[in-house]
Amino acid sequence: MNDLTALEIADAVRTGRLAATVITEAALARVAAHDPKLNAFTDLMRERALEEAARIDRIVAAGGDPGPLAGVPFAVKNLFDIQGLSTRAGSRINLDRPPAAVDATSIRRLNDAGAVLLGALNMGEYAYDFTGENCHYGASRNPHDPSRMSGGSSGGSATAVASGMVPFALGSDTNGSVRVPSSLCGLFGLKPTFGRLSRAGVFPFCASLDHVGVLARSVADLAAIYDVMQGPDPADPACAGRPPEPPAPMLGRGADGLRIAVAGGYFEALADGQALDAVARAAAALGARRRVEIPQAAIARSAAYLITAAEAAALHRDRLRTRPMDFDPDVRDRFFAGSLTPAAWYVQAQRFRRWYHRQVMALFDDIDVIIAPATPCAAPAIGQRTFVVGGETLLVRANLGVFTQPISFIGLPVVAAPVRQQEALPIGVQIIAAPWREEDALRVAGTLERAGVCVAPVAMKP
Amino acid sequence: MTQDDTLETEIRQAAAALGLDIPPECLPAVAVHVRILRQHGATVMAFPIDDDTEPAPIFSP
Repeated sequence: MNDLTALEIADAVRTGRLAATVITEAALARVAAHDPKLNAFTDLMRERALEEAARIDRIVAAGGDPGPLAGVPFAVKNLFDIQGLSTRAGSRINLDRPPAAVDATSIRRLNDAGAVLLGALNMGEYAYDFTGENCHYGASRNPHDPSRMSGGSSGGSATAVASGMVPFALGSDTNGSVRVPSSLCGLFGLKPTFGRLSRAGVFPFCASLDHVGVLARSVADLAAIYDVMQGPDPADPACAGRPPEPPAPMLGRGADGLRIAVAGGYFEALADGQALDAVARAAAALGARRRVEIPQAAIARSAAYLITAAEAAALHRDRLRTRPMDFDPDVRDRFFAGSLTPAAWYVQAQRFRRWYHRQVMALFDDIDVIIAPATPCAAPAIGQRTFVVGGETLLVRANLGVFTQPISFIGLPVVAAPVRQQEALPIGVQIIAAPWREEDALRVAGTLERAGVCVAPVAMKP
Repeated sequence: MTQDDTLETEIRQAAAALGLDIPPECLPAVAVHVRILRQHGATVMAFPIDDDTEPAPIFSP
């Protein structure tokens, strides 16, 4: 049962072949079996999960509609408000905040669709992380090799899905925090267009760049889960007023008619052989021979870095003043440095963002989808501080997102897709579409999945 | 005084001017990150942008 997709579970529950309570008990048993070794969960909510599952079973028994995700277990990065829990955001400090009065909008919408919340997942403190390491709660481990990083900051989300504890999890992505762990743990991950999914009830990191996203093991799951979370939400000022645009009807069309190019320049120069090979195999399967250079991607990355540093440091200023030694040191020292960012750098970075957005939008005049590496390499070892990228020795924590940052910087929708490996650690590619064209990225990912080029197998044996 | 000492002094003074007291044991690591931010700052500031290019965020009243 551990490798059923979300939609397979929902189908079994909706047709009465499996009870939601049986599915939930099985998921809780997998958490009990694997989590002591992998460290994905920080808060397991057994009672709530069984109550939600029992509600679904009652609806099915009464002949009602339990929703498109009926009985599907899921969990969320502990950045999301869960009623009755203090939202950790990966920190110890936030445990002193009062428990959340209501669930985050995205959890509420998933519950309304029949999904069953199992609990909250480990993450890098305050989401300032690409490793999945956390000095308070320990590292979330990579199920494909527990001595390796899960990636971050949605590390526990990737660990929980790749190990088969749950078929999907929610994460957040400011600079790559869904796409990096998806790549390192071999999962499909969706970071939709900026403003597409409500961030209400999600602890902020950098308001200009924060997104909600999904990690799963199939493209159809990604599309279905994303779909039920769509729609305006006045509680998030950045959430667009657009009506939901269901992607599922388009998935069957495959990639036919889409103009696909491979990102060159910056994206070739910094990737290792395995990352380049993943891009080449995806491009070959799609027949994509065109190459495109995203203009000034390196400056975009630097500008995203500055905006993040400045906004996050400002957000945490009072905590830095009053209890600096209660932070994860790897995060605190970056916040202190970010506090010193001159306003002129910040404003220039935001003005560059406007310029860069115009240039990249021009590329989409005659391209629909761009393929790029998701991470410069596969998962580093837990505890590894530095790695070599493009011939330069850099900090792992700050630089696993060199390829994801220039894309989220202007809010483009991206599917991270894991390219099949022979006895190597997983690695993914980014499938990047124009704003509000999530369906194009999902269609390409689905095509690669059907061709067997991209796969997201469960890493753990049942 | 080494270059590191000079940078750490500069950081401590700049932080103090902003009302932040950085614990001395944090200064070496903060300095590492300030150097990284300065590289990114130099990269972004070197790019010429027209005066009429507005910052990206828009406020809708």
